[in-house]
Amino acid sequence: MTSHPAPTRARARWRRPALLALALLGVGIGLAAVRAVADARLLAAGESLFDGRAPLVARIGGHVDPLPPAVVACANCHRPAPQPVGVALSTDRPQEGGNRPAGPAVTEGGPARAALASPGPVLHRDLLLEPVPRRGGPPSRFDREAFCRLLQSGEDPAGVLLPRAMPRYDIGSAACDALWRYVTRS
Amino acid sequence: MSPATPSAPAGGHHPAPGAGLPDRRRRGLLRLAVAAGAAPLAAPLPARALGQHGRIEPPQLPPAVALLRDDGSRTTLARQLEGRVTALHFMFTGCVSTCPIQGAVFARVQETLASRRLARVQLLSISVDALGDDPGTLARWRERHSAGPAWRAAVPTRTDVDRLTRWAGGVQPFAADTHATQVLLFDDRARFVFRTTDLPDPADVARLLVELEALTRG
Repeated sequence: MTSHPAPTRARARWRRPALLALALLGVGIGLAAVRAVADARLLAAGESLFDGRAPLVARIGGHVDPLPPAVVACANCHRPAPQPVGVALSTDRPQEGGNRPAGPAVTEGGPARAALASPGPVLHRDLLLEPVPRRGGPPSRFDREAFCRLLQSGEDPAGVLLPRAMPRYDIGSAACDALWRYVTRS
Repeated sequence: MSPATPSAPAGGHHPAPGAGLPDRRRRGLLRLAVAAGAAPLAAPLPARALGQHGRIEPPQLPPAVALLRDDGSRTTLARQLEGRVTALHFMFTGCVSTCPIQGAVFARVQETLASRRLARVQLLSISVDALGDDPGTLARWRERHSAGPAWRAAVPTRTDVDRLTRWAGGVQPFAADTHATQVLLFDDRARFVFRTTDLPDPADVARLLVELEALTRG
């Protein structure tokens, strides 16, 4: 009969819990990685929808037919966060029929010119998530549901109807999730 | 056709709707108002303030404005309008927000009217960016929207842009850094006769043009 020395017995006693802890840690890391990948995909999908690489279906309120996807991309009228250096945050109040003729062509001048001519509010998480007076209404904040309702009906969280130039989107739940994740990213 | 009516002075008196017009023509104009969902506008409507829409009573002649067209030729707004029924909108090629939507609306109007072969109907994109737009950018705008020969684009001089947009906006001038998205309809005598809502449905614009063309033909 042989007997193990005391340190060996102690190691054997802790081996199983240690392996279990390692396994749990591995599962945790794995789940976090899966979540991170899924979140990255959601962000990427939101960015594609925002800048028009993925088409959105929308029409002006009261129109029968939808507009071409290229003319209803969010990026045509809104800048996403973060702000370009040197460009002040606009107020959350779109210009009615807003356009600023200002010299050289925006479409031919790249994103910087487009940013300067954007008539819609900047879609920044602070402006969306904090209570802010919008379009003359009382302070209100967005959540995911309010954001999707606005896209579909043109009604903001305070019940104020957006200008006619803001298209109404036929947007499903998954696409809305992606856009909301993108515009509220840190 | 009634004779051309001079532009009414700002804030001037507006006679009763349809006054001085033959019954048939008066009924036609009322039909136009109804077609645009503007039935309540049978009452006198100055159609001067930004945001209002409906028929213009009395019809108004635009100010004398020189135009540089997308093909490089020079003309005047009156010459461009005379002899044709016109749908006019204000835009500029550097605009990436509402102007592309306006372009899409005109493209759909053009598509809707294509089968009717209305030789006396035209679409006219007038740029409000006299500094940034020229025949080249206007030609590219037309190309981008597959504009046919009945859809022209032109830009006035900077001074004329101000005069024209102030006139089109009436007493309340367009803001210095914005332009309206309504469509203005002119008859074949270059008279402003109807203002639509902002960003109107292409089907409504096409229907209004067809009716106006029929009225002026008769």
